Amino acid sequence: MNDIIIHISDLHISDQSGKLGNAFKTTYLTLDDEKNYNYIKEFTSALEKIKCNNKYLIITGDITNIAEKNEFEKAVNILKIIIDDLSLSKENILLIPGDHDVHRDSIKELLRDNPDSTSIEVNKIKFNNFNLLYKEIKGVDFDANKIIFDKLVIDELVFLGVNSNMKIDHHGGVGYLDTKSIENELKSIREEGKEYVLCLHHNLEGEFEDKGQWDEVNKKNLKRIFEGNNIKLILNGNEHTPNSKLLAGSVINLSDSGVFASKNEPTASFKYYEIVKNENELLLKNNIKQIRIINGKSESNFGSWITINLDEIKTEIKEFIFKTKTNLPVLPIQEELPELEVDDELPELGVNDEDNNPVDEIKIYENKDFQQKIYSIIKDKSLFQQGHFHWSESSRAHNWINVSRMLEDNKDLQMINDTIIDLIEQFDLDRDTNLMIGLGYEGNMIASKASMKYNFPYTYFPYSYRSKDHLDFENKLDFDNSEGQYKNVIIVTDVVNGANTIKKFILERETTFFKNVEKIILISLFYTGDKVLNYKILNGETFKNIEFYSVKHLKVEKCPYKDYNYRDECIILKDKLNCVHKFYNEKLVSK
Amino acid sequence: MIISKLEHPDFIYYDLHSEEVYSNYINQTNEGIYADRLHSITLERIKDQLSLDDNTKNLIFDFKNISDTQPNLHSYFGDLKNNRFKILFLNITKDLIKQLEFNSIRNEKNIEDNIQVFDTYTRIPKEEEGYKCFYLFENESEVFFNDDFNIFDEIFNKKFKEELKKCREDYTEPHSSSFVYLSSYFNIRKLVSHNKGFAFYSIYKLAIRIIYESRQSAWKTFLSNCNIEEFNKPTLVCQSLTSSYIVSILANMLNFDVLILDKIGPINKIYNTLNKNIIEDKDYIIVSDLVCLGTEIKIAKNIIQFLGGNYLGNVSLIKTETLDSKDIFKENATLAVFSIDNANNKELEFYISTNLEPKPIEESTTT
Repeated sequence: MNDIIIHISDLHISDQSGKLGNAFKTTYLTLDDEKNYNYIKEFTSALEKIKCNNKYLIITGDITNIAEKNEFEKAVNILKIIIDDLSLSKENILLIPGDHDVHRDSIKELLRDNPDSTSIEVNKIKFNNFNLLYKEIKGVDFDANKIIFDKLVIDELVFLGVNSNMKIDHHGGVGYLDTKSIENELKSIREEGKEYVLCLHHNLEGEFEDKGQWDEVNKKNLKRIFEGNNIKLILNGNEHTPNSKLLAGSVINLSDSGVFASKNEPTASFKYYEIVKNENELLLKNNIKQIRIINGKSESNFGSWITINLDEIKTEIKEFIFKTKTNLPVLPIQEELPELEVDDELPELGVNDEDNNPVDEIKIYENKDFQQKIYSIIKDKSLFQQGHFHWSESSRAHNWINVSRMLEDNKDLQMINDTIIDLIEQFDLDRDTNLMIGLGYEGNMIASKASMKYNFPYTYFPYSYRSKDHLDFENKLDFDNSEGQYKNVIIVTDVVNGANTIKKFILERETTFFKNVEKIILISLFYTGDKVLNYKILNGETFKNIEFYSVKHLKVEKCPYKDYNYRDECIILKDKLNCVHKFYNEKLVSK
Repeated sequence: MIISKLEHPDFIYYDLHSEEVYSNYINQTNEGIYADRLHSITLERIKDQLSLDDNTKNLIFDFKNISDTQPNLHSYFGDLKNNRFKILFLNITKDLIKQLEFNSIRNEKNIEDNIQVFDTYTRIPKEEEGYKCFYLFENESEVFFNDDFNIFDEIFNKKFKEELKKCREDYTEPHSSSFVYLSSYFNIRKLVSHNKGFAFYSIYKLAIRIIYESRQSAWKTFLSNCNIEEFNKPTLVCQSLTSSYIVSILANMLNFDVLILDKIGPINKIYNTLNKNIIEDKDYIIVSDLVCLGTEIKIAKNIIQFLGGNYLGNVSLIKTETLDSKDIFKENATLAVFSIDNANNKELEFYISTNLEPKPIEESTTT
């Protein structure tokens, strides 16, 4: 049996009198202890039926409705029932405040007395009532000025309690995390071999509104920080609708458990995540329960907690994967892995160059609708493959995205073509372009619609590792650029990792043409490299003039051995532990 | 961009259905060739382009495959008339003439006739009252078109041939996949690179032929009178870089799925362990840019059949008729938009030869 993490949110325990503020009329949880008792008992009995080992509880905010003391007193009673019934220890609970747990009258009173109060003082006072609950349940005071204020450790999984209410004041506000502070706190916490999950209240993306309830500028910076710190999952509340999705332009999963005690629509719900762990994988299996009133005679006054079949709803991701057979190294244990080998024939592209890539200049493609659809195709068709894949002797990886299979369904093919157009339009890339080039079969196919939409000419070109399969004239561009008439060129391809294929195309195969090109815009469906995605990451010593845009970042694991010893050292290849596949003809290349 | 404009000394021709398909394509309405309603966005494009080029005042708008129009399109044609353009509609139904409010025009050359129209989804042809030619003016002396004139043969084919000449690449090596000598190759990528509008129009023509063939020929019928979504649609197979481009556009036009066969050899290693991408008993159509001797088609056909798929046929923008059409089995015939044959191979400077002595001319004429 596995451990489970119970995720509830947005309880909105509400004083229905309305004397001190607005009441949340559609909640089952009020100041009525008996009703609360019965509702919670239904909840805990539903959980008791789940066969599991240990249980953990995470509450992602809005425990009360207006953060009055009387609401928090009831919250204490409610949580004590849960703790007793589920035999939870205080270490196994994360209590996260939401914006409804901020006591706004306390802020007003503080400001009336002292208008020059510091933000530290405001933060402290606004959570005074929340602290009544926190101290009672957790046994310590809530540190209102710390962004990461608590953690729940389950072996290598670490759930971090994060306070996203720093900018919530007596007028309200949206989610916000100070970027420097969260980056520093994450760095100081991080340990090798651990996987971190952020637990916070506000939703970074919205199911009903495009932007979610988060500061837009802050969100973009956070995405970079989260990706840089290998965050793969964020648990949140606030939307009152259970859902899970990807943070736009990233592979970070977001999961909202919905509203916990709603009488009406959206239906009351909670989630539990089963920790699936074995030698080769670590993931959280997503489960949702919702209250459904079936009117059966045996049913409680609230209805029944029903398990929702995730196959039937499109708004949920079934598994949040931290490690799979693919990205767990199937390698002999070494103290230190060897350096990754780059293509010997050419200098490596530059790393993030400070001059070229100032931190505040972020241009990353975002369209969560397209990005989610594309990710779903990969997931549903299992197109993220594992094995030992070669594009040349020096270009090897343990994963491969099977893009050609992605393009087989006409609807998917057209959607991906539309995505490329959307990307071009999002950054106005067509404005000064003189020529577009589709690279390889897949690049050619995903650029076909854009090729017809825009007035500049279009052509296509084989991948360098397949050049020997083509006739001489097919390996030459049909355009002469001796007069420099093609100054701005868009290249469309399916996958970019280290961009060696692009380098070969530009620096070896079409040197004369590109000599007079001033700007290259590289568009890929996937970026599979290590860097934090941004539009100038490929610039450096080799190139100064490449702008790079990718629809999705899906990191693949490179074969970590050196060119001279990988055949002996890499056991996937040596012992054929999985598929071994070459995308080029070794004999033709050696000729 | 306009894709179907064909110029003749006496007129300029526009194929409205193909232009509508193009409008849908670039505006991401993925109806493909099943779109049969003409919209203002299409006429806007034509009008914009015409204002730049008004040397010829005689315009032909072909309504073939158009069975409906957006309301109020009358003004587009009315404006052109006011700009002294002489307009001829081809293959238009009586209903559309009425819808466009031109039913009051009287011209003796506007002769009522049954014209062929197609069901939107199944493309089943049916007869409807209409006009093969309908002039938007009444002065018969200004008539500029002979209704026997075959636009496809007389203009499209000639234009295709001229475009093909630009794609010729000299080649002195033996043919790479068959034991013959070729004088040259045709680099069809050049057609896309330098005249992508015409390339799109040619692919459109191919799409229309594929559907027509499915109705008329020995091809297994895959369309019926029900909703297109429910058909057992064939899969389009690409096996070269240029055919991947053609297939990508054809898939949109026909709403067919796609198979990239090029990598079947190596990728098969993976698919054998996970799942095969050639599905047993599913129909496959191999798509090429140019079929010369058909060697690659045979290889692709064998792979499809070996893995249990049903080879339906092959289609190509261009085919080479090395045999007389009467000597080719229907199932092996390539469906193409343009043929290189004994009537044009000399002009195209395209020859196939072997190391053997050619058959003496006097003997060949007697057989």
